[in-house]
Amino acid sequence: MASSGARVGQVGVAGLCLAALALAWGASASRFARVARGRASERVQARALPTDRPASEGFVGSKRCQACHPDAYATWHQSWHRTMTQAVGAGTVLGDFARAPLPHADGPHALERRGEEFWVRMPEANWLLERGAGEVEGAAPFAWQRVVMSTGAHTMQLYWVAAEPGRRLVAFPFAWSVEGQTWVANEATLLRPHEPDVVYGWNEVCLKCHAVAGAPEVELGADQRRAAVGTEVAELGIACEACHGPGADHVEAQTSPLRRYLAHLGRAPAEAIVHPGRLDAHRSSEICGQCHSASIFPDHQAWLGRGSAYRAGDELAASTQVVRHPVLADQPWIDGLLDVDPDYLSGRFWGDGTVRISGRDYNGLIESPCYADVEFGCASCHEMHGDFPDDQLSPFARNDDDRQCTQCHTALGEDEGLGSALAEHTRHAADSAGSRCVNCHMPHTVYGLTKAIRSHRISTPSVEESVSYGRPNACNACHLDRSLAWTARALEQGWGLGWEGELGELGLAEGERSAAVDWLVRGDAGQRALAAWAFGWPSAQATAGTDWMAPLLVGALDDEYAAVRWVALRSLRTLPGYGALDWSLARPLHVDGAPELAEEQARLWAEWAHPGRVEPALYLGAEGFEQARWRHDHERRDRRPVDLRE
Amino acid sequence: MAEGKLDGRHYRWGWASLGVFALIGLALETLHGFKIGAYLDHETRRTMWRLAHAHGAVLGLVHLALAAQLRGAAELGGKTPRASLALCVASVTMPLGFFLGGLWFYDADPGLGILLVPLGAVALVYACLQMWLDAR
Repeated sequence: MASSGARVGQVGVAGLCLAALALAWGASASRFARVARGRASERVQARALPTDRPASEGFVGSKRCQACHPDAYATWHQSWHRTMTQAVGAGTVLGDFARAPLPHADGPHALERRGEEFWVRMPEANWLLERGAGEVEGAAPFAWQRVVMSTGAHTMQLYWVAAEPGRRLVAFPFAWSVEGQTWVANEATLLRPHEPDVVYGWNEVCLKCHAVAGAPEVELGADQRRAAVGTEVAELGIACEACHGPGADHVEAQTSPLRRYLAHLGRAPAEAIVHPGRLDAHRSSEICGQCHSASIFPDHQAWLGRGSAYRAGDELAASTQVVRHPVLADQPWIDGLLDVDPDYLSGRFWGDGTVRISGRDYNGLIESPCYADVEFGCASCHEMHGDFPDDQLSPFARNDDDRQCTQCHTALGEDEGLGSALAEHTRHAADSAGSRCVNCHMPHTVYGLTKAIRSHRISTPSVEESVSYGRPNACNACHLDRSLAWTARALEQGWGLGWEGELGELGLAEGERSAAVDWLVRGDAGQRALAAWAFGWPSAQATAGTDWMAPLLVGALDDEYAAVRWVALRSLRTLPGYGALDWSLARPLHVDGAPELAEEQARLWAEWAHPGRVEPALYLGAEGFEQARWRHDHERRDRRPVDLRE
Repeated sequence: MAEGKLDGRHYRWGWASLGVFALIGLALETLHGFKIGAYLDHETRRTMWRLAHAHGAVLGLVHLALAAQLRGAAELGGKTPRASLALCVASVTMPLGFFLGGLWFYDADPGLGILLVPLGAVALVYACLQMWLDAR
């Protein structure tokens, strides 16, 4: 028995050892498989991302700059320029990949995080491209695809997956809204008519400005299809060499401490590098203008190859054609552009030639009267290495104290208070929003990133810009409850800025309707978006009051343009009692319909507290919100398609 | 210089130096503790001042070691007074150079005060060489 027991024990021990070995083997195999999968996945990302430009072109990358310029590197590192494009990794993704699948007309799009990788289940990227070209139709073939790159980090973040051939990248159809902490369809982030089959590619569009010295390296086949895509960049994101030029020669020159100290002591210039602050203001501004402009390249095929020939410090016009509206400049080559893209101007400019989309502020700058001064440029108000990433405004331009203007217009900055030169000029209290230079001369008439942005065409408010071109004027963009006739009279009496037109004939007589309300209810989509934004602007709210706004913004929640809905919801959330409204109220209407939205609108209208006064211009009736009249007008809104190419 | 005077000089210098640089270390810790941007935000300044602190403290220990050696020595070598002077020069110029290099600086390059450091380094090497020659 003892012998038998010992044998049983030996067998047991042997069994345990075998089991342990099996477990260990299994664990190892599993680990090896994971490592192998990880490496394969890394190869997928490496194959998909742009490759480096050749060393012979002189780019060294921002890390090399950091060693000698740690403070400048640090301020750049915290800027939104840096995060404009990033290779996806655990520390770069803002979106919530644990969310439930996202509803979409093609089918639900699933999200998943796998360790430090991010995956999406969406239609195969190449199939989307083929459908966009009208080559395939029907049910979309779904597949899990790794997210390899992201765009943005400030207001939203978009994600890119690999497509063929080569290093072609296609957008995941949803973006992460930082503000709403929710996923939104890419289409919903843009002010454009709903286009179900649109596909966003990176290599020939975003690359131009979202990386340093991007070269699409796109080869077209005989059938004009992409035969090869070998995109190169000096660096992802907008980094040092975008503004300072290639750094290799500078790095080489500055390895000598003697040279460095001679430069520090001002005995020798910093060699072989562009310092925008030492250029004249116009040449310096062209560095910003390489991206912040509506522009094209004279030779599109050359651009598809090696990208833009512009390097910081160059004359921009030598390589890039900045598009100016024909009402402001004669550019014979624009006819060729309009032959290819007839909507180019309407998608970017107001009828008076003022640029109307975000990210093209250089176009506004060069049309400004201040630009006639050779000392005036982007750096008059902005700084790239400050401590204020939002808008990158210089300290004196952040605090609404007008110093960005009074540094030149000194007479308006000499004193304050009623009766001061400033108050006499503005006809507003010196400490009010109406006395801030930018509120009148840089109104929020640019649209982009689901918000209104200040126009960088410094101008004088006029009724004509609104009547003739539909561009909201600064007065009515703040005095939201006032009519165009009121503005015409105020400009005439206060500043002698008369307007010869017959407002009454246009149905714009004083008291008949508020201009801003009219833009929100009956305007085109561009006007509706800007008006909806103005309703949430604190300065306008303080000027016009807020107790009448909610029903109009609730009405805008069923706008056919998703961007208008989003902006209206944001403004609505700023009103007392509406801050808890869920961002899902602004979700796409075309995916799952919006029966509950109508119910929500009805509830919000019913619960709104009537301020107790009657103002037809604001749809305030004796009984409450004049819903029937509002609906009558809203049904007659300007439905001409608006497609803003931000 | 007499043996007693030299070892006394280095004992006094060593302990004074350790005291001064202990206080400087305390000051640097305080700058850290209160998160003073003028110190923490500039890597060059932080590096230079840390080096000033470290060199000053270590050279204080060298003074004490030299004093102990001199007190235990039967007689002075001929080169010891020059080594003593060179060590004193190094003990002033090296920490001071690092400190000034961090006080005014250019991005990642220390200010011109850093030029004192190689001067002190030469003096220190000279002191070591002289003591080695005396100790043969």
